[in-house]
Amino acid sequence: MNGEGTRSLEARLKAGDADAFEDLVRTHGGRMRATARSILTNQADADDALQDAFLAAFRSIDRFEGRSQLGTWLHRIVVNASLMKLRSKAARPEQDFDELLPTFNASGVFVEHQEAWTESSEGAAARLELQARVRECIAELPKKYRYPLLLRDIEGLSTQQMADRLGTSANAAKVRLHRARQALRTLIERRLGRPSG
Amino acid sequence: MTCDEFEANVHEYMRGTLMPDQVTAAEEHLAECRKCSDRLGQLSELRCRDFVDFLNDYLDGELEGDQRLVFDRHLSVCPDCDNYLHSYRQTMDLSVASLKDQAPVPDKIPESLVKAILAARK
Ligand SMILES: [Zn+2]
Ligand SMILES: [Zn+2]
Repeated sequence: MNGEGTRSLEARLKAGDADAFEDLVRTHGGRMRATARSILTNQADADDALQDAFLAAFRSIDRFEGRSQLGTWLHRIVVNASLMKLRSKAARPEQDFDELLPTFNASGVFVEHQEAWTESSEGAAARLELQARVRECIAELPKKYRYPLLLRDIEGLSTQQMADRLGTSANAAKVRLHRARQALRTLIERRLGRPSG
Repeated sequence: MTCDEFEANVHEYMRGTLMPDQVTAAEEHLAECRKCSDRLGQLSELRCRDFVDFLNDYLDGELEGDQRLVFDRHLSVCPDCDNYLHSYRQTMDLSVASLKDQAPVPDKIPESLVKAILAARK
C-alpha cells in the first residue's frame, strides 16, 4: 500500500476534510463493493451494504488508530455491513446467546457427548460454499460477540488492542472472543453438520 | 464389573447417568481395582468445564508447566474435550477463511453511487 498517501488521507479524514471523504470512497469503494458483492451476490444488496459501510466508517474514523491498514479496517467494516444485510435477508433473528454455549453437569462434565467433526477433502467449489454458510453463522452472532471475532480474524488485533477498541479490560475481551468462537462452533455444527475445516 | 466394562461406562459414571445398580457395581470395582481408580483420578483431575473455559489459553500457549501437563493429561483421557478442542480449532480456521478478502479485483463504482454515499454523510 502507498503508506505516505494513506497516512495523509487518514489525517485529512480526521480533520473532517470533505474532499478526503470523497477520496476515500473513490480509492477504496471499488474494492469494498467487490467484497460486498462476493458476500451478498445480489448487486443492489451489495450497494446497500456498501453505503451502510461508508456511513459506519465516516462515523467511526476518529476511532481508527492506524493499528491496521486503512484498507483492512474498511474491509472489516464492509464485511460487517454485508453480514447484517445477509442476516436481514435470511430473516434470522439474533440467537439466544447462552443457549449456544456448551453445558456441563454439576460435576463439570459435558452434558452431551462431543462428536468429532469429519475430515473429508473437498474441492474449491465446496469450500467456497462452506465459507458462505460459515458467514451466515457469523452473521447470527450478537454484535457484542461478532465484533471481537471480526477484530481478531480480519484486523488481527491483539487482545489488548481488542480491549481498547471494545472499551473493556483485556480479560473481558479475551473471554468475549472465546465465547464468540464457542457459539460459532455450535452454530456451524447445527447448520452444517460436522464439516471438515 | 470388569475393567473393560468400567472403561466403557466411566463417562456415564462421571456424568451421573448410570442406573443405581450400575453405580454400585462401578464403585465396588473401583474399591478393588487400582488401575481403574487411577484412571478415574486422571479424568477427575480437571473438569471438562474448566478445560473448555481455559481452552483459548491452552491453545495460545499461555498455560505453563504443571497447568499445561494437567490439560494435556485430561485431553489424553477425555474424548469429549479432545473432540471439542479439534472442532474449536476448525471453527477458528473456518472463521478466518470465510472472512478474508476474496475479491481481489475491485469493482467499478458508478458516479451515482459515489454521490449517494457522500450525500448520506451530510
Ligand atoms: Zn479395573
Ligand atoms: Zn473433558
